[in-house]
Amino acid sequence: MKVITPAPSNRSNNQLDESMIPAINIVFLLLIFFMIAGHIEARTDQLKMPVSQSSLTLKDDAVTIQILNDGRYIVNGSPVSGELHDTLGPLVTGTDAVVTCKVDKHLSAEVLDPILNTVRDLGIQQLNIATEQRL
Amino acid sequence: MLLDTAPASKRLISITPLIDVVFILLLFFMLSSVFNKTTRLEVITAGASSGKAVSDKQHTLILLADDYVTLDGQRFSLGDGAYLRRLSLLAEQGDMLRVAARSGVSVQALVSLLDELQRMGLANIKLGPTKKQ
Repeated sequence: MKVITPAPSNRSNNQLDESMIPAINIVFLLLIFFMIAGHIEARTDQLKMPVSQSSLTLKDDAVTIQILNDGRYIVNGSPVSGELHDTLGPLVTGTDAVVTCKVDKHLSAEVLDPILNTVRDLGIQQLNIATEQRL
Repeated sequence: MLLDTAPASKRLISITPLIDVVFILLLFFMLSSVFNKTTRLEVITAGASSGKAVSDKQHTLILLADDYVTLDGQRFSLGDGAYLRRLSLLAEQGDMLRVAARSGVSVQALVSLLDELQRMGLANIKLGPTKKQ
């Protein structure tokens, strides 16, 4: 027995394509929105920054100290093996140097003590705490 | 009369793979985009000078656990009206406020306190090491 299947009509294909156009438009708009409004950054589960309402933007030229939730200190991306003072000292020039501290919000405030003491010993007057502004 | 109509242009690119790629891009940006803005909270370290005009008076604010503070030794809850009035007065007078947390207080609680103090107009805040119990 020979089965004759109807050939797909060009007309129905064209109608399907045209009905997809609004959906494609919306997808493109969503794509553009996420590309422009969001930004991509490295995610780490080891550091959840505290929330504040400050609107001051983070400075890129600052010496950055990270305190992970396991208590490890990382200065400018390198783990601190010895004393924090020895690692931080050569990176800081002058009392107007900017030091930014990225610390996990769940940690005890005691983890800031070594940084506060080191910064004071080095004569740095201002310490920035990196926070997250919720939109 | 015969009209000379142009032949329908043949579609060169199939639209289905294009939509697939766009969907994949959309999923990627939806899942990887971060909308939270990273900001900073400025604190003057204890022992340094803020560079601003400071009155001679200094006050000590210690953040305790469970949303309580001591201001010059007097205990307040964080939402206490008397505490907020005293802070407003300190802001008006330009007095210096030394802030420290009691051990065991979370970083988030300390940051929230500093953020609130700055929003109240207290410009001369110095952060010191935690106080042991």
